[in-house]
Amino acid sequence: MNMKLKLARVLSTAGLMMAAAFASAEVVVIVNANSSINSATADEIQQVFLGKRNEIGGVSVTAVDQAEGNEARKEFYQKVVDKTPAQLNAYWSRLIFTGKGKPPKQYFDDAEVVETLLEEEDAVGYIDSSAVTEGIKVIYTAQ
Amino acid sequence: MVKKKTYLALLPLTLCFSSVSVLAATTADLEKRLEQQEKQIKRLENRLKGTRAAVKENRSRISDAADRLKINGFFSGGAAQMDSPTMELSLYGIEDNYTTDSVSKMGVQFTFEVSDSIDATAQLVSKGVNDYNVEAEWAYLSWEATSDLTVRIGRQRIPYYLLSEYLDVGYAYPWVRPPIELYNIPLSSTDGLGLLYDFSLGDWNFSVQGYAGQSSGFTDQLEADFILNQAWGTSLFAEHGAWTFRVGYNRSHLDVGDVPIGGKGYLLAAATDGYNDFSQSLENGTTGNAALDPLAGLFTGLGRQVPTVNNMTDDTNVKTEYQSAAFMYDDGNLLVMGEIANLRIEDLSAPAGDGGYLTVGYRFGKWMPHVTFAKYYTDKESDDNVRSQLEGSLGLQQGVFDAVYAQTLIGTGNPAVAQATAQGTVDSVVAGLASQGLVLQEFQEAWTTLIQQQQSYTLGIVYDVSPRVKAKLEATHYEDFGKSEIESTSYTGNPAAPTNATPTIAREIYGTGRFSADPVGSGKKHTAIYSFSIDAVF
Repeated sequence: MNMKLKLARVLSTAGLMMAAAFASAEVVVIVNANSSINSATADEIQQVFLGKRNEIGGVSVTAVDQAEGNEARKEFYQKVVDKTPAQLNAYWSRLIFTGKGKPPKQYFDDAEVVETLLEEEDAVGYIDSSAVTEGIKVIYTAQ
Repeated sequence: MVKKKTYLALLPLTLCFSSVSVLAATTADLEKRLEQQEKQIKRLENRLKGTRAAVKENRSRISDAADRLKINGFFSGGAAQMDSPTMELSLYGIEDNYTTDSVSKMGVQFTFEVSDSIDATAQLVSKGVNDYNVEAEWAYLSWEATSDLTVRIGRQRIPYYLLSEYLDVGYAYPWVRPPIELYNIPLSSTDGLGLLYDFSLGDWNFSVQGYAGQSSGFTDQLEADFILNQAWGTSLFAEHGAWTFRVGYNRSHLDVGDVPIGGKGYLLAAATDGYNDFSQSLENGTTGNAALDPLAGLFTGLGRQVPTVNNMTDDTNVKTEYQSAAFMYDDGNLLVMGEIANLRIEDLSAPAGDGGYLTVGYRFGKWMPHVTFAKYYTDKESDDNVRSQLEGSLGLQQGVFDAVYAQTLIGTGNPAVAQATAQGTVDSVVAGLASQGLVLQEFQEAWTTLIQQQQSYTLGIVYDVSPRVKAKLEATHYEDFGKSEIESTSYTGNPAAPTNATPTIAREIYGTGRFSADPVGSGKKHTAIYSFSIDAVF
């Protein structure tokens, strides 16, 4: 029994490590752990990050973006928002130069996004899943 | 050498002695010193902490200011050429020779967050076609009354078209320039009040926009300034997934300002005035041409009036209406967009009518080839306005013919005809009229250019140089300009037996659509514009 338990532990540890290895290439959408939002659809997230909606399930949110060139950003806009950087710039330039919208504020990296989310409960951001810390809740995982 | 060696050998010993003496002397002293050092470290630590806090505070202050002021910009540079030596697209300054001014423009937009709900925005644009003069296309204060309702005061773009609010931002649309068949209203901004309201119904996002204000512009058609008073309009956007729909309605009262001497409006006015003066002098019998003077008697004697026409270039308070509808489908790969619009100008024979286009593009990675078909024509109402002007001149010709014909029919028995005959022969009347033909011709030419139509095919390609820079290359073929037939009554043969009693087509003037041709009528049946541009946003 003891042996079995040990084996199980070893296997589960290995499994976790493997999961972590895979997860490192995964982008997750996150909120403050105190937020009442527990999950969101890709559509909702897309609309929030394109400035078309400012709530998820009735809870008001503010999108927190990452700096251009970040891996997480490329991944997020490609997989969740479904826009290439050029399309995204064209989209925002149509709004910026008509005063109809402002793109979400950009933060330096995953750590800064996490820091911001820990301070602001209505913020919603995205990071590499490996950067998830205590006090952060994942509401969507990019497929 | 030996001496040095000795010293070196003694060195460890010396060190040993001295350290022993230190150790012996001050264990307590050392502890004291250590304590001092620790205090020193603590002080430095504190100071470092203070510095860190200051840096942090500074950084947040800087980022706060940076957050509150947003600067965005756009740029277009390139070249365009038209393949007809006598034709020109004056709206963009595109001619036979390569011009870079026609494509070049740059804009910088500043948005300052005055408070959480109030922004001040200014967009300064410099365009090559305007001699790089810097103009404020946008300059307004916006107040976010609620999260859905925004109120703007100041200078704003008039939402005439689907793309009207970012017309200068070449990066935001596929062509080097939007189709001229529809995008041709020579004014863009209004000073006044604007409202924006956003709402959602299910999966649909809506945006309603309204504005009221005054604006001024410059019409290339008349080469004159004009003012739009009591201008107001509204537009509705609906978005659903990849689809966007838009309808718009705009209304205003138009005042045409003074037409500068030598401009097209001046020529139109001069041709009209010239014609009216001629008609008037004819009626007064003071044409300065002895052969023509008797004609007036004929006109009145036959119960006809010498026709005059209205000079509409100095009209004021003319009602204008602009309606448009558009759709766009963009799923990331396939782009389809189309738009139609109708301009109505009441009581003013400026070109007004219907325009539209359909564009299809497909993205292959960084490349997007696209095709566009566009069409435009002045509508019946506008054309009828022009024709009623032309009829004046036809009336004059008809009158002459009638007079001549009457003479042959009635003979000198009619007092008017008798008088005319006494003063000059019919032949000399006709000859005199021919010598004044230039007045009529200029008049007819000036007015027929207001009957317009054209269609075009554009083939273009867009390449994403970087996420913020696009390169565009395109060719547009313009055709189907139509032609105006100028009727006149020709009088041939023996005055005693005129062989032609009905108006016939004397001249055909080929139209040039949105283009201008110098001299009038020298335009070709088709033309093309080749354009290249680099468009960027930053």
